Amino acid sequence: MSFLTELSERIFILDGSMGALLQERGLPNGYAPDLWNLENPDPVRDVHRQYADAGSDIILTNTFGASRLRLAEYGAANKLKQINHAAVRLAREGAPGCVIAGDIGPLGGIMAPSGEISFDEGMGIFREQARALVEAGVDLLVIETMFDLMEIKAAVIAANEVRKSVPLLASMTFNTDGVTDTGTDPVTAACVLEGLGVDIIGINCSTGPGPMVDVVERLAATTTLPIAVEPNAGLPVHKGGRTVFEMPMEKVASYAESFAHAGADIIGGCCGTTPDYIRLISKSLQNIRPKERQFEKAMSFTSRMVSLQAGEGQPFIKIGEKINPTGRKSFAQSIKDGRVDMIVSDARKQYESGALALDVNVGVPLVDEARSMEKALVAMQNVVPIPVVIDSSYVSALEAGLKVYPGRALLNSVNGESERLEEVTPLVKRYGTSVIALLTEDEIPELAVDRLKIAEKILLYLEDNGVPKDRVIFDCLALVVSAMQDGARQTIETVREIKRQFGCPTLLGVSNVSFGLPQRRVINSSFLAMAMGAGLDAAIINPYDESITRTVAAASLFCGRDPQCRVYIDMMEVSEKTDSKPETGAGPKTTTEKIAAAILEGDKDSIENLVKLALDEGHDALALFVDVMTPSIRRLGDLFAQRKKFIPHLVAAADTMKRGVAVIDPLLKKLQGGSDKGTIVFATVKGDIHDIGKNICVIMLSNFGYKVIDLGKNVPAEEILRAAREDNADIIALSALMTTTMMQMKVIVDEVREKNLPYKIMVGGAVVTKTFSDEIGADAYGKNIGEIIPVTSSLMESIERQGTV
Amino acid sequence: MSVNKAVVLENIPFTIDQTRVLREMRVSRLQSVDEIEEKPLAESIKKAIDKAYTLIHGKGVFKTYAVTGVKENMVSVEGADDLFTGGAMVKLLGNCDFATLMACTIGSDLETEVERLQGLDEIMDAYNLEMVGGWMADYMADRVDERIEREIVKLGYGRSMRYSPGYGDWSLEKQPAVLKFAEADRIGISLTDSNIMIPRKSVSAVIGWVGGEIA
Repeated sequence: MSFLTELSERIFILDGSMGALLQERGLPNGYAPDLWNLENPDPVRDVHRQYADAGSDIILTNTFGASRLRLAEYGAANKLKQINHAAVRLAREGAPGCVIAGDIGPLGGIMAPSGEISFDEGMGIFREQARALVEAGVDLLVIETMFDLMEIKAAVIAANEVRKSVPLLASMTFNTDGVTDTGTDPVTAACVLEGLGVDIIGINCSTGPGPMVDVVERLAATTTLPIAVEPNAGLPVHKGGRTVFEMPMEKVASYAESFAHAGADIIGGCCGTTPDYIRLISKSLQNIRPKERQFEKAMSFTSRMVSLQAGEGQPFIKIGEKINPTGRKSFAQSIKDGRVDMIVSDARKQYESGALALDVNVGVPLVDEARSMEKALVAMQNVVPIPVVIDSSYVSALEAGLKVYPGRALLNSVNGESERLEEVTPLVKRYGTSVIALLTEDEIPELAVDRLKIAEKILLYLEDNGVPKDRVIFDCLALVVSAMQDGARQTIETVREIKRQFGCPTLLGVSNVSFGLPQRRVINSSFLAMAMGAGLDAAIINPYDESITRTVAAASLFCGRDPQCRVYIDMMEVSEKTDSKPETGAGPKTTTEKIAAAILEGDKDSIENLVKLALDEGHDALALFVDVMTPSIRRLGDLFAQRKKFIPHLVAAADTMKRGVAVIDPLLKKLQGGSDKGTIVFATVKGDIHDIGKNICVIMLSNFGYKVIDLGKNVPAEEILRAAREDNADIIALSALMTTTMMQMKVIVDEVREKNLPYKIMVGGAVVTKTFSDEIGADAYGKNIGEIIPVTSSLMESIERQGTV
Repeated sequence: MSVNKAVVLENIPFTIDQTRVLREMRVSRLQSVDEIEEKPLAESIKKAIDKAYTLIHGKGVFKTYAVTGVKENMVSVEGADDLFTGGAMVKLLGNCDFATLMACTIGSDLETEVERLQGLDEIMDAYNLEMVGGWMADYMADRVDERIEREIVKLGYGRSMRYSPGYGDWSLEKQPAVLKFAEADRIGISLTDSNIMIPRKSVSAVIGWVGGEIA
């Protein structure tokens, strides 16, 4: 009986930790245990023997770190083959009769797109070690302690290439919150690993046994594959210069039965467990058989952290269609330019509009589509967590996308044409994806019966090539109803029959069905509702179209896809809140009231026209400034002082008023011949390269009628003093952002004091404090831009008082 | 554990939390931008957030060093005797076996756009985008910090708080050395003569591995 067959009959016992036991036998702290396979083999063999004696059925080779990158840290990369071969031999010698499992740990670096190791490079490293272990005759390959889906994906694909008939166990590490370090939950992990063709799914390391029971349960509800579990002996504790695990063996072993009941088929230990732990675990499982798990699996696809299932009773899957250059000139141009900003923006907007997945098509003529796809998927994954549908006519683009996509992608698509099936199916198999099957061949059949024949052909081909039908979703083809009315009806029939005859989920692209007709949204929504009634599971739609969103929500109630109507109610509650914002009716009426309101609200786009209108209405420029704008911004200042409004309000109002003042400024100058409120030389000090705060202050001061000489940023002291002299300044205002640069303020204050120059100095900026201001002897200090006007007026008043005296 | 080996993080996933952006702008009480009564202002902030999604490229790097000695006013690590000077550093790292230096950035695209908007005199839009960037630099620091913390916890250690040059008596003059030892150049961070990081929206810091028995 093969190992895998026997797994359905009895629970297998794995071994426990290796490194700590070798340390007890003299392995220096920080030295690679793998090197002892060659340098000091007896203790390694002895540990294996002890585990076999304790009841382990499966023995992991001492090769957790025996991959090229990690051995290179010890200058031993060139001994990779010998180290792995020796490890297998030692395990056989120490544990004859046991299943010898070639152990492969993480790379020791981070894979792209999260890190610097490319997918191909990572695969190469894993392939090399897996090949060495298979050559040495292991009975099982184990990839373990992985927290990054991208890395385990590379490891499994590499192992698949070389393992022949050797079974593969792939194990991930989940934290106490039930997800991996990179946010993958057990259901998503199981979908991805099962798609990649592993034989056993495992969890190991990181937490103690308690939180792992729930993870095993969630895996068991997702996959019918055997499940392995290797808990640590509790959480790590640092003691006496070492990391130790202190949960007693009785406590760890007490979880073994819970693991078995949750669905585990292989149980062992990880960090901190010893042969004594394994002996107790083995003993506690003596009369327990593996739990039987048989259920129909839904077709699924995932991102790194979200999995979607398509089928009856599952939420309807809205796939956003917007990332597609067809008919979008500027979008196509952005792809040509190598930019991803529009893709990211559409990804985010569609996600926020309720799309559960996103179709990604970046095909633009004469542009390297593979490169575009890679860039698009990397950028999108930074800002949206949902799964993608990788959509391209080119296999190279599909594969480039798969190499940077950690989840189980949905490929768009295969069809009934043999050439396309032959091209795309190997990708589906190798990368463990799901796939959309279009019911076309060289032409689109009108009748449902003909589309079903294509479906059968595709299913047979995929199954013959190792892709089971639970990885397929059929696109039943929405035909343009104005051109092919009967064909459109046949689409609905096809949806119904695909489900009835093959038990497979279905999908439609909806938007084209209404082509050429008025009020297309009405048609799209009606068609979608009818198709959902026939059993449709997913649709590629425009998520910005609210009628589609509402139709899906409502139709889901009648299709058993929204139990307790929760999704519908939540959506409508939000919608009603948005729709029913009360109109106050107490808005500004006259033009001057509108100007005052525009300043308060920061309505910079309206102010210029309002001011022009007021002038046209005969209002005096000076009166507008003095009686309308200034009181408005003063009122905002009062509200700021009362903490009813905040800095962004001041900035928005200043920006708005500036635009209004710009309209009347020429008239004011004619009237006044310039400002006499006071002159301020303003600068960000030498060394500082950023001055947005200062710029806002300058605008605020100008709005209030001060004459401001803005010297910009990174301005040397001598230049500031020269400008003050030349412009006959009343005040020098200085801004600084860094503790190093703010010392420039002292230089200027000292110079002014030493030469008895007639300028007041006020200071402010991110790091500047009142204490510092006092220490250097500045005349005034502003905590933030909200204080610029009161501080300046008060300083000017003191200047005027001095002048009077 | 990766002692003396820099770990580079690319493409750090992110979301932009409106509440945190409002706090960065010193707006208290409000939880979302929609609560701002002044629609043009609210729209500008939303636009800044939308735009920031296309301009932020989060990267981080960290490198861990063994603490080799503690003197009266200085903590030494392997290869650098005078990096961690001052009372604050002794308090932070004096009880640590290791110190991890980190740096992170949101990249330069956002601040280039802020400059462009300022050049166009669009000061409100520039300010709002600048504030989004300010929060997101801290956000990236939190993500790198979490990653470091996981390494620390997995080895049974406790962590110190995160501490940056220029805080307390840890002089900003140490910034060049901090960036050098963190290998910040690998994620494109450099320094001006006045020790300002370029891109500006970057963070550098140290986190200590607190030894001893932590039950």
